[in-house]
Amino acid sequence: MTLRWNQNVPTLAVALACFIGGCDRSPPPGPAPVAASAEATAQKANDVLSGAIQVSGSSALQPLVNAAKEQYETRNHGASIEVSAGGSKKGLADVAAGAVQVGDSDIFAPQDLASQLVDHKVAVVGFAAMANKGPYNEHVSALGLAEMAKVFSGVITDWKQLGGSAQPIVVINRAPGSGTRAVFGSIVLGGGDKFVESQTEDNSGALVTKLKQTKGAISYLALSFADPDLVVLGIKTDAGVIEPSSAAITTGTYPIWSYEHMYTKGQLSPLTKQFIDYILSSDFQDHTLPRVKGFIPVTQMKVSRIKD
Amino acid sequence: MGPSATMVDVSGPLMERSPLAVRPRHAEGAVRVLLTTFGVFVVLTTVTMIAFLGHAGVRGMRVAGISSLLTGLTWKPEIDEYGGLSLIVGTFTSASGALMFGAVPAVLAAVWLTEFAPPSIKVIERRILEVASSIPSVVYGWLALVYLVPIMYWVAHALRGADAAVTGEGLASASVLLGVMIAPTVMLLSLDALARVPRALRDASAALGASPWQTAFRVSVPYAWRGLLVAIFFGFARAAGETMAVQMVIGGARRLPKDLLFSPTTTISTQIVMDMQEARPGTPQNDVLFSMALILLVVSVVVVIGTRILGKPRHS
Amino acid sequence: MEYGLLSLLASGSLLFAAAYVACLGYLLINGLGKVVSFTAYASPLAGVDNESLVRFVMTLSIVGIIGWAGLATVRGVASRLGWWSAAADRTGAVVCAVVAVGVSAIARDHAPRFLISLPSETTAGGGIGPEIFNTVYFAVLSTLITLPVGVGAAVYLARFARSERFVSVVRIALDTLASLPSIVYGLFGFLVFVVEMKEGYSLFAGAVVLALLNLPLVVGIAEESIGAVPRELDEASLALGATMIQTTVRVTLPYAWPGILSALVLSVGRVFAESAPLIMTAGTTISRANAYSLNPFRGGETLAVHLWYVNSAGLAPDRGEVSAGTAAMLVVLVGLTNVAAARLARLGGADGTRVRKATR
Repeated sequence: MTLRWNQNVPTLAVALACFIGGCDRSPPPGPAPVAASAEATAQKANDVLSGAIQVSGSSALQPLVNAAKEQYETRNHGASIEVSAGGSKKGLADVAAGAVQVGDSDIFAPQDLASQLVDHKVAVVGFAAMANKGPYNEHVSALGLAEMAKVFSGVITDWKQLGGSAQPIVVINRAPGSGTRAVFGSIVLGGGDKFVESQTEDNSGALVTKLKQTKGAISYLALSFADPDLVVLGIKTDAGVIEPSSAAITTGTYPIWSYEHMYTKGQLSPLTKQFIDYILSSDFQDHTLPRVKGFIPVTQMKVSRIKD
Repeated sequence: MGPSATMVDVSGPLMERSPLAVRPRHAEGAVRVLLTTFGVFVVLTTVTMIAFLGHAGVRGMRVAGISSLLTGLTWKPEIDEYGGLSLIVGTFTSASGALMFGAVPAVLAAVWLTEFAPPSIKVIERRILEVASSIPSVVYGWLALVYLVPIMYWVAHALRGADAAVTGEGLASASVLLGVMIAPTVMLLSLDALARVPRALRDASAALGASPWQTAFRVSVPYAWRGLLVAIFFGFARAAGETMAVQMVIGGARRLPKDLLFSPTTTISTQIVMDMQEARPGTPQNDVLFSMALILLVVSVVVVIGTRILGKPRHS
Repeated sequence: MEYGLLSLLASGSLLFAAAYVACLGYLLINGLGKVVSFTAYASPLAGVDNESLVRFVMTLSIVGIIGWAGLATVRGVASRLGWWSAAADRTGAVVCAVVAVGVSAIARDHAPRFLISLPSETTAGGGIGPEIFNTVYFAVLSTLITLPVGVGAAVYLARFARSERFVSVVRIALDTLASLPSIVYGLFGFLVFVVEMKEGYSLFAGAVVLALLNLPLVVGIAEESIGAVPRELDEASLALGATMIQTTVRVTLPYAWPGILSALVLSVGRVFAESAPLIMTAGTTISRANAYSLNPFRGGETLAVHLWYVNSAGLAPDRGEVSAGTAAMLVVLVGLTNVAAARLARLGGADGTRVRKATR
């Protein structure tokens, strides 16, 4: 068998790349959340439940659910919580169809679903308009609610109309299924879907990158994604500027916030019930939740809402 | 030569045509039934698919109204507005752009390879393209997202001024991406079409004193024009149906593009996939998505049936 | 002027091909690092069923390929120098196999971390182990459906069909199937399996949809190959007293094998490449409970779907690297399929191994 230049040699070359390209001599990554577990931090004797539950929906809630998942799985080795994104409306549709056990949502379930689903409010999250930081808007740090509405509905199209220098505004929306879009739409734009039709980006990480790269860009995100390289716009009122902070949200002064709902349907499996109980427990709400950026315990809210 | 040549009716299937065929035993009958079942299965599946989709799609058309689906400007299922025009325009323009950026260069390159290039280069380039056509489309989509979109951002700023309101995603990016995706397949199909040009024709043309250029463009290409057109149509159908890769770079704005090259917009298939994520089966929103799929289906079927008609060899 | 246009055409055409080569090269160089770097430390198990076995198989594949390529090169060089023999061939193959199995058993936890870890939704450091498993599993499952149905229908059309009208009906059906965009198949699968049968997302639904997608392609190419078998061959077989079935199975199909195989390779290539139909039928998630399970009624995402998901909805901060590795892995898989097909093609055909052995 002769040396086949078009088959064997490229294969060998690639194979040698395995050796040359290298042994990965870097230190092993930090202890995997599952393998580690030395501390028995559980105060109660938890029944060690096993199995898997699936959670899908809001990307804004995902960091919190992941924090809960890590803690929970450390205490219950056989349990597996699988979290995926897709948007609040997908979460609602999935849990109503029975495809997942828990649906995360930034918004209250619409009427036709609300009767089938059970609502568990696990946290409060604030949202804000965030924009690309540039020389054209260095003096703009807050907008009035009415101004914000005009920007996102396409009436105001240039940063100079907001106090900056001449630069067209590039609105980047969230996907129509996004809970963030729905919340922002109902609070800032007054309901309906009055957003100007523009480019949509639903991956929050990619959205932050896009905001940093595109001149004139503005969008809306949960505060957990706030980034120092972006301008986080406060709300301008006659009384001054309201910054989106936990204090302002809990007193209701800063109006752009919503509950984070975890919806379930019908009879809960023991694992699901225990997981939700864990998230609602004071252990999680007082110790872990405050450490996750952007989330506020429901109990701290001095105002409440029954619908968006 | 031999008994089978002239004395037997040759119009039936091989196994019965030949006088040497052995009378089938019972097992043969069973196997024949099994094979026939496969044929029936193919037909049944096609019919079932069209039926299921047609049923859901027609339901959706009753909800939204055909005229709205075809000509309405606002696509907002959340408030029950089902104007599909922006989707249809997006599909057509991105597919046509793909033809411009991918299919036409591919055909020209195929002509060069067949008529002018040294045979060794032809073999190498053909191999390269066969590999290129088997790369998954999402890979091209991802490459476009990471590299093409920033380039388009820069191009847009160069063409429209330093403060243009663009993000790089839009029809230009989508057209280039789709063009790159369909080009290998279109080129391979064109190579096949041009290979069917009889050598005698080329030789005759050369004998009459034509230069290679004249032979290529006045003899070979006209002879093979049907095959080339089939290749282009096939590329169009593929570009129109492409979903995930386009979704990454077209921007997803449900409106007609303000700036034809650089404004974000959407296509039928992109919108179907995005809306299907949260649509609940049985709701009108879901059914309307199937109606848009029906529209896309009709377009694709028409284009491909067109290629079949074109492709039928007519002896001239 | 003609000359100028000609050189323009020439350079355009060459640039065209060069661009694709650059693409491929870039994909491999960029992502291959993650795919091939064995680790000095042992990756911890994540507690998934069958995980050790899958690691073993993956390591075996990598080491096996290296060994095979090494052996082939040694063979090539040695036979040029005249030092090779059939016995050396056999011992070489055996030694290679034994060493590969041994190394894999020992080093299975040191396989490239990217290839054996589970994907991560929000943190850096996710891998594509289950996605590779699902992709290969899909290829196997859908080929199991496509092969009998596609080749069976092709044999029927080429050899056994009696009614011309039915044949043209089948051909029209195949043409229609071939002209449907892939998303339509996904919608059909979604309607039938996820909605009507309430199965939820499952690999089985995805495999059926992919088999349907590939059916026109496989039937078309297989029929062409079977039609290209010289009629004299079949008639000679019949003259010797063979039945139609024996003729088809032992004479026609082996002769048409390279064509059928190329059809299957193309279909496997499509399985690797499709993402839209799979998103609607098999979902976009990996569940730790059944990441490596052979149960076809659970959902799971493939490499192509993962590449899309990580860029469109995932929150992992290292999505660029994960995408690069996924893309490289896809290219490697496609390449391996083609190489395997080139090897398998030699079994049949006009001068294939079977025919050669039969006529020795």
